[in-house]
Amino acid sequence: MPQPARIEPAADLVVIGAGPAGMAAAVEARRHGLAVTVLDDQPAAGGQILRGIARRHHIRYEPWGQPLADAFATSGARHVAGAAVWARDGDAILFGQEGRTCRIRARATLVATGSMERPVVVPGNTLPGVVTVGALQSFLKGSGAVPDGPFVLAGCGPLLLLTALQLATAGAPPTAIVDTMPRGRWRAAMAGAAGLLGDMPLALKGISLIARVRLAGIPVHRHATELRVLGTDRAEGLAFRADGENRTIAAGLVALHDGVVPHDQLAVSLGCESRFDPALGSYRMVTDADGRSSLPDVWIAGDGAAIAGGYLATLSGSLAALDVARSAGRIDAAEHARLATPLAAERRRRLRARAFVDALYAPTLSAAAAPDAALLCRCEEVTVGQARAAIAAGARGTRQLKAATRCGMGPCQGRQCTLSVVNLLARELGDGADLVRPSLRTPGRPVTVAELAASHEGHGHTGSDA
Amino acid sequence: MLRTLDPDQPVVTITVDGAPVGAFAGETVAACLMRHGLVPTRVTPSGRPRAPYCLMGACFECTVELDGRTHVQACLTPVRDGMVICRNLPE
Ligand code: FES
Repeated sequence: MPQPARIEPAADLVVIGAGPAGMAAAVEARRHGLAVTVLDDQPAAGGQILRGIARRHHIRYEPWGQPLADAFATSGARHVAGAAVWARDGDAILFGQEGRTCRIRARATLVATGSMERPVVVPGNTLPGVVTVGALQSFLKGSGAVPDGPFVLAGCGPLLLLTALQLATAGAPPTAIVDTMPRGRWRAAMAGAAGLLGDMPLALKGISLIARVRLAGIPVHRHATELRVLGTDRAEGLAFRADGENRTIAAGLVALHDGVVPHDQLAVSLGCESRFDPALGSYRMVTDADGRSSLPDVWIAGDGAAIAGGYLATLSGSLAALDVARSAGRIDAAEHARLATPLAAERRRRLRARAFVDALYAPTLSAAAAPDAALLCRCEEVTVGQARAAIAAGARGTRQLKAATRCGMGPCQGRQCTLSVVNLLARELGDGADLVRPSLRTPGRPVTVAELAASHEGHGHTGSDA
Repeated sequence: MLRTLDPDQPVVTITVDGAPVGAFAGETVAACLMRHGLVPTRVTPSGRPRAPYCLMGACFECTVELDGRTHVQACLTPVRDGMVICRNLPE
């Protein structure tokens, strides 16, 4: 017999994700008297960028981080850590916590699931010892751990440089950075440079980051191509081409990175609409300026909708919460305008810098450019070559590729392969590719039969659920 | 693979594949396993070794059996004294 679902007290607003967007939304919604529950799958609040802010830390967080974390902690919002949301059933949200199924009624739902790293497809990327650069962030901020022995950071993106510096400051400088940004990117990005005036703090931060990596004396191999992780049972190093030479660096940990994309599987599985953005090589969720999704009573805010970084996520979180408060009748239109207008204006201004950043850090390690032997789907062990063969045999879209190769059918539910598949289709077929996103069925994450059975019967809190 | 920056943290004991392993109270199960070099955490149907990769819940490479529950993501789970963990390795 499955344990019946635990029924949680109903909330005016259920926020999914306790990163910058979710925390800011909870704080704003509480100001207007809404009952707020925040469900988050991580062990502590903060999301990725503010991970570990409440524990002893070894890095300096963004200046807005601590005030936000403090405001969240005292906001009166209920924070449920370790909560893995898997479905929405009418106005109820279903989630698992330590194997127990829980159910909470939500008058409004805000999805604030943040970003994840873009899948990197290079040969050897599944060997133990290969991690994402974000994983090194997670070790450092969440567990107070740093690489032991030689390690390299490879790929492209501001997070890579930031992580190299944070680790060097913590006493664990990387052996080398293998930078995959192609020649000519800076020139190409200049078309959007005027937009940087909209977000000068961001521009200055970027410049200082590059300067500080130079000062730290970390060896950087530029314009690297043909990356390949060495080793048979474990990562032993990285091979690549740079300056017209084949090079190898011995390392027990190889951290890969190629920018971030929305971590949007949950929103998609709830049924929210998304659209492919060819310039970004990723999807963005369809929302209005207040974060309203294509579904009634569901809002999406922060990087989980479209990548704009942690600070802008706080603005979009607050804007979504204000819209929820207005629809719930907690504030009138005039009060809404007074509070939302300055936030929306700041957000619009700073978003102008995105064109430059997105062009500079466009993908460099996507499946489209990978050799046949590289693994495209980690779960079902599908190679790039097998996917290319399926395309050559007539697959035109994600669904046909999935049927032909099983890619996307494992436990990660396409988190690690959907964008690889889409970019491969676009590269091989051009305009003939069907880039409609494969539908993600509920549950939005793997659940056991017992958990599923439990979701249909519940006891616990009655109150407004009765 | 990893070392701690906080060696003075309180230490607890967990069991991995039947053997006792020292863990720091503030770390995740995945960080603890990697600090002790306890990889792979699983082996694929075709026999390839895998280990924690994303450390944020998005890749499912870190799944272990934890206190009798299967497919638990080690990167999302903080260690607790007395936890019993089995890696998904062939006999
Ligand atoms: S390491 Fe990716 S889900 Fe745990």
